[in-house]
Amino acid sequence: MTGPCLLGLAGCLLLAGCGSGGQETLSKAVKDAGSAVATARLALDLESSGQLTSAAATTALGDMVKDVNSSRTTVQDLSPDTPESRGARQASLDVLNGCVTGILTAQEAVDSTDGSPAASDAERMLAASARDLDELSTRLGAG
Amino acid sequence: MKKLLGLALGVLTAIGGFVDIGDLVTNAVVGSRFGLSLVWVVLVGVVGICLFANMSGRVAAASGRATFEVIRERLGARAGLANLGASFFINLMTVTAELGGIALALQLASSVQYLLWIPVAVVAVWIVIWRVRFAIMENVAGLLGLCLVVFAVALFLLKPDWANLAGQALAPAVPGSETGAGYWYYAVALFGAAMTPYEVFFFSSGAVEEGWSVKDLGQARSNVLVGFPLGGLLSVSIAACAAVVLLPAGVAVTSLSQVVLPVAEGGGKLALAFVIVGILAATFGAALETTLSSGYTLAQFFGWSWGKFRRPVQAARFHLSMILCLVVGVGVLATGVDPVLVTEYSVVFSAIALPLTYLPVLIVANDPQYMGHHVNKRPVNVLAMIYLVIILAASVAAIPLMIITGAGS
Repeated sequence: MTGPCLLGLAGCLLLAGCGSGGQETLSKAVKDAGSAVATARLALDLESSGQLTSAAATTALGDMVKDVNSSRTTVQDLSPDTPESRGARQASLDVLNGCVTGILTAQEAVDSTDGSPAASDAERMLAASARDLDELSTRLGAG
Repeated sequence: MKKLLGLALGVLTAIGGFVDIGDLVTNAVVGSRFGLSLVWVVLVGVVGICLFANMSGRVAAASGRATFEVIRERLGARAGLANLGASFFINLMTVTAELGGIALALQLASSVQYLLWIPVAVVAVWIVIWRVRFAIMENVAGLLGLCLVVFAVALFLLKPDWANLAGQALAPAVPGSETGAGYWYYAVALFGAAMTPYEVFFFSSGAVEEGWSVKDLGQARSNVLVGFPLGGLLSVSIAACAAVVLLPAGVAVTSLSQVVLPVAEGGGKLALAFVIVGILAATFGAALETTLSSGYTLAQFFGWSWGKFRRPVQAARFHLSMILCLVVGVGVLATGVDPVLVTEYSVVFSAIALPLTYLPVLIVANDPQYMGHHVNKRPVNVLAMIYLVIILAASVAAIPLMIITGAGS
């Protein structure tokens, strides 16, 4: 299933089935992940332009992986009681997984000595994650 | 000339020593979430710490004894114990946070996991407390802490919209993405960070360590009244850097590594090097101060021999209690608890304990038996009473706000 389809499904499911407590938790997790992805993009950009040492960039990216993982655990710990809310939780987890992958790729790009993966690839992944989070956040807000 | 140099050194040390991990983290968190709309709290906190640190230094200079010793004698064991319980618990949390801060700064410089730096940090703190003379310890940490001025330099290099920043500071408002309760929770946290109790106990015990008399009151006053406000400007620079770079990017600070990003954006790797040295010095200096404060308060309450001016063998229980505090701090950090989280809680708990710390200082500073004709003047007492009301309000509001906001999350 493609990203937009997944997000569309998540939105419908959220509107249909998520309780307000669960929705608040999802919104908070998405907001926190958004902050982590924005930090990762800033750190990667500064490192690429020679303004940040790789040690500081690696540390920042490592911290952000921890932050998104923490959000992911919070979402995982939700106990949805309908098929719709279970689907919504899964869709959110998929977006958060994408964020972790993007940040880990950025960390690999910073640590890499042979230029693989490239920082530009990591930036593309992080930009995609930021878009997914934005869409998810909008849908959660609407729900 | 020598006197002037001494004065300059004292002021510079006070500026560099003002910021600790609590100020660093809280100001950056606030800047990234609320912009400069909470700058007024830093101002209120700086005036408060100037008021009570000055009072505390005057008690030490006039009586020749540390404030806590006098409190214990003047107010009795029960009031002394309440004061000790509150301030010692906060001290211990702050020691833990500062040790974590040292380790996090070393991780930023090396990318080696901070947990591996904790033993290095604690041994270094212990060796300095054990071996290094008080004046050298205080001056080196304070002067290196001046590297944090790079936050102010970076702010200029970032070329912010000054009118917008001034607008946020002068017409405070809760941003749309935040709640009113969250705003007030961080107001209390900032106030607690600025008025951390250990600063007052360290200041008065340090006065005894350095053998102050009433002749030194002028220098003590200038250290506090010039050094602390300039240190407060550093705090505002940290918040402003976060407000300029992190807030528009949607970054809410949760780790120390995020705090340095605006500095790198403004000044590149050179500025980054300065800020890491500054953070290291600030947290190391504060770890020394809080560890010593823990030893001071315990020794002064129980009547043990204390002070770095004595050889360790002559103040064995004082030194042993500090070692135990460091061990407890390491033990807490070894559980893997996030040092930034410990810092955030320590500044809020600090706000809760403030009345127990500052009311006794005010009572003692008005006792002619200890102070002679150096008792508080009426305007100082009026201002102190206003502050006690603010302190009480912050203390009472802290726990409900913590519950309502889920500790600011």
